[in-house]
Amino acid sequence: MTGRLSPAPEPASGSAETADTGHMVRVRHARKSYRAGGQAQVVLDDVSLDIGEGEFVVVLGPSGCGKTTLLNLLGGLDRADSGSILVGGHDLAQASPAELTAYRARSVGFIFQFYNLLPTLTALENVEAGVTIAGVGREHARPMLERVGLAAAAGKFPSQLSGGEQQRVAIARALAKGPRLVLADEPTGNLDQARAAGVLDLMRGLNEQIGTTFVVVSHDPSVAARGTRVVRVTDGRIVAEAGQSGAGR
Amino acid sequence: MRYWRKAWRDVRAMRSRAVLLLLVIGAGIGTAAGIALALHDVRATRDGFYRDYRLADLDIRLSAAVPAGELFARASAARATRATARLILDGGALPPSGGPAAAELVGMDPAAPLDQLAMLRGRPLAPGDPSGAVVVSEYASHARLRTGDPLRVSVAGRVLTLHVRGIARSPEYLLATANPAYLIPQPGSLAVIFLPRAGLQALAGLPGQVNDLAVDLPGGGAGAGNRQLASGLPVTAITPRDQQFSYRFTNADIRSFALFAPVLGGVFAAVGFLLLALSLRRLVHAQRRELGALLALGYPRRAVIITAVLPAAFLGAGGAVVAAAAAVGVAQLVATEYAAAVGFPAITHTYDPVFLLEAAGAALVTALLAALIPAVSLARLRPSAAMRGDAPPAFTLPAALRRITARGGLPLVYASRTLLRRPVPTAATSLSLAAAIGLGAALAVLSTSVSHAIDATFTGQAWSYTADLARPLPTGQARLLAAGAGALAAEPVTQGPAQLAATGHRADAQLTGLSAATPLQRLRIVAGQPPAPGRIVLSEQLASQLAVSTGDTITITTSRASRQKLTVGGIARTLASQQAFLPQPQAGTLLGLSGQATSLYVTGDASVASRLRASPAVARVTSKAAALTSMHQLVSELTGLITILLAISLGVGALFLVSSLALSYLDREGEFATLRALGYGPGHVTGVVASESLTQTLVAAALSIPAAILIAWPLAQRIGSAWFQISLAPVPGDFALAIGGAIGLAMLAIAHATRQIMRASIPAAVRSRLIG
Repeated sequence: MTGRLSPAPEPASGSAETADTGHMVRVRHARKSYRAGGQAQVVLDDVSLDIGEGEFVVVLGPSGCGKTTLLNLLGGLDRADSGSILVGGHDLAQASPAELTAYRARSVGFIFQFYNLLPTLTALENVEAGVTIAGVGREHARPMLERVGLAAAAGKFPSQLSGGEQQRVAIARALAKGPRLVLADEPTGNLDQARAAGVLDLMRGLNEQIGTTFVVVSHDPSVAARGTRVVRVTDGRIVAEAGQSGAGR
Repeated sequence: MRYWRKAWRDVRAMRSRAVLLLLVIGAGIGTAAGIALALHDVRATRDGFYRDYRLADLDIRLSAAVPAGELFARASAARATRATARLILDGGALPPSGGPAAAELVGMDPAAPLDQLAMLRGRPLAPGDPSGAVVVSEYASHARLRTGDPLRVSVAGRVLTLHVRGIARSPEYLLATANPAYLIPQPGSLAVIFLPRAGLQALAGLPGQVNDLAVDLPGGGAGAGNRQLASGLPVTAITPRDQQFSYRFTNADIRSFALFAPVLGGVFAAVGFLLLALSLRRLVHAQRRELGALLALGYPRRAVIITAVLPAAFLGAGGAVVAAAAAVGVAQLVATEYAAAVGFPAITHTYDPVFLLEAAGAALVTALLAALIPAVSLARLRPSAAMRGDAPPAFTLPAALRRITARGGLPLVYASRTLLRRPVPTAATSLSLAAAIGLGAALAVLSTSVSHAIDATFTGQAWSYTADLARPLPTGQARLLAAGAGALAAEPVTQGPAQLAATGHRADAQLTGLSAATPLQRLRIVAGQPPAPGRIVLSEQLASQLAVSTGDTITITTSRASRQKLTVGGIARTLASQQAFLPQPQAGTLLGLSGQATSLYVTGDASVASRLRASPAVARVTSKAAALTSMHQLVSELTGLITILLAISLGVGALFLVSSLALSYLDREGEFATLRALGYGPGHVTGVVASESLTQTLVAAALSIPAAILIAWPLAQRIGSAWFQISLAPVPGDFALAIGGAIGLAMLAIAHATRQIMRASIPAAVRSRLIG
């Protein structure tokens, strides 16, 4: 698969896209701005990007460059002002709010910088919260927790876990429902070096074992080393790409 | 540092939360102040009316007419500053529509210096129009009389046709009732008809004669001079101003209403402060990092506290405006509704600045205090600790509780544990709501209990009508009179005024002599025994006023007998407040009416009442059914006032609920954003919000039942001392409206909160650090 600088050809629409092109993600001319102080501030400017199935893409850039906004658009958490965003055959630009909700439930998993575990649910219940809404059997939760090495912590609440353990629970939550795409926003930003390395190893290992596509946003160059591809973003634009093209396995 | 500018920016950034806080600050205090202001306005209106239309200091009513000059001479001798003599005759009114009613025909000087008429419609009395009547407005409204209507009256055995020339209010008959012994007035039960004095004297064949003297005396008419003024006259009643029915009722009623004010205000103020303290604590803690930075930059603690508190000052100032506005609105609503319920003149709204300033000041001070406490504690932190921000809330549960709360779907699990995670706000919200619901339910319980007390009292009575005799008759003749009218049973009684005294206490009473067997009028004895020779039975109110119980000794004084000592043999529950009962022979002796009856209790149908009314020996006839209906009517009119207070209570409760929900969701906006990011849609979010809110509302509803009883109990005691004793008799319906209303409002709050959550930006909220 190739990541390309804009401009790029218009994508075909619909679920045939993945089958036709092999692209898990196809972004074309995406633009996003926010109003701040009464003025529109462009955060993403004419961004086009293709990501293949099974890739482990690291989006690298300084704070405020627009990388998290790109992640939000891919996750259906926000909408682009213009352009098209196709993920796994879903046209996110045209999707209704209900369709976006269903997309988030079934097709995409999130890993956040601050873990975002629900503090009143145990580790297992947090993972179950991710699978039940996807319509996947609750029984998938515990094996995934075991897979991230936290079987013994299933009954613990987030406040009883370390930061690294919490992020592992978050990874299990994101993956237990079997999404085709996992989006991670600064997943190691709140961890020390050792724990960060452990989390990255885990994500990369799961990427290789399960084949789930990962898009990881970070400002940390050391994270880039784990990616099959690195996309550099500056001032709302993709300025460079590096790494091998194609599946990360 | 420009503290004010920063504070103003902070408040503006809060947007709808700031508005909600303004309302929370203003609503509780404003409602409390509004009720107090309503009371003030009602009192001021009543006093202003009495002053403007000159309610007399003292009224002396005679059982026989005497020359007017004699009464004026006595008034002059007593140095009365103003005096007017009137001829007042009992009779009956037969209006064009509606049934007959007891009537009081008042022949007065159209230019009387006392007890003047406040004309509402038509023209005043004219000496040249002897049959031109002015009718008291309450009765005119009840009988649908208009100016120009003819009005037939029966008086002294004759039926006359008068013409309604005007409708007026009278300070003396502001609340006119056929049975003044019953403190609850019966609206429309007494037709008070004013005529020119000479006209009534001519109609009654009593030229120049009067039987009533109203005077203003130096010192307000209190003291021994009163008896001197009436000495040797055939006195029926001497009524000082403070014993006058309207005056007594409004005083008693306003006193009982006055107790509602601190209870209502206290509940609102307490729950308001609770939620305000929680809200402003959050507001102050939201600035924690900023304040930590100020400390790190070397700003003194004082500056940090000012920075933290100033936004609350802005909110307090806004809340002060809301409180003052709410006070005005609530005062207008409550006072107007009260006036309509009890038949008061149009309320003069004073907008007394003292009340408004107090409300505004209380709002400001409350807001500042609520913010000052967390601000001081924050300012004591080390800069590094303050800059780290609030620690994420830790949460654990005992294993058993964890298992119990793990049942059900995610919305239930998350909701139940969220409520357990925040026990203080959860408890505060539930208690606040319970207080608001309980307050509303307590008012409904009181209304039901008053109705129940009236029913219970009348249910025990076997009579259908009472007939007050125009003059005392031997009991045998009274029985014959009843039999002649077709009564199935009759019970003559002897009644008259008496004064009772116990150690350190005195009270005026209506002494009633009951026959040995009392088949028709049955006393509800709540302590001791029925009347017996030397053993008097007192109403609960009298016993309370005299601070006596059964077995104690009291002294009784009447105008016809010297003092006598009696033992309190029993205490009875009566609607009429100042009642005392003795066996008829002993009462007759004390009242100087041995072997005579002053009124009759009879059973029979409406034709018996008609025949009694037609008899010249009968002054007035009162129907038990009409008395019962009119008392219920007054209670139902007062229910309108209660409904308004209930609506205010629920409105404030709903505001607190919305506010606490908003506060709770603001604290967890990151968690809701996470749920939405995981794919939870509006249905699931509504499930979470509804589970939490309805749980709190249902807990509050359960707590509101004992809360309502706790609130209603002291109010019932107060009503008991003002009107008559009532036992709380709650029925499920009393709670249904308040609880149903609260659940309905909770549903609206849930819909609002869900909409707010679904409108929030997921990307912004999901990065919140306040996640465990």
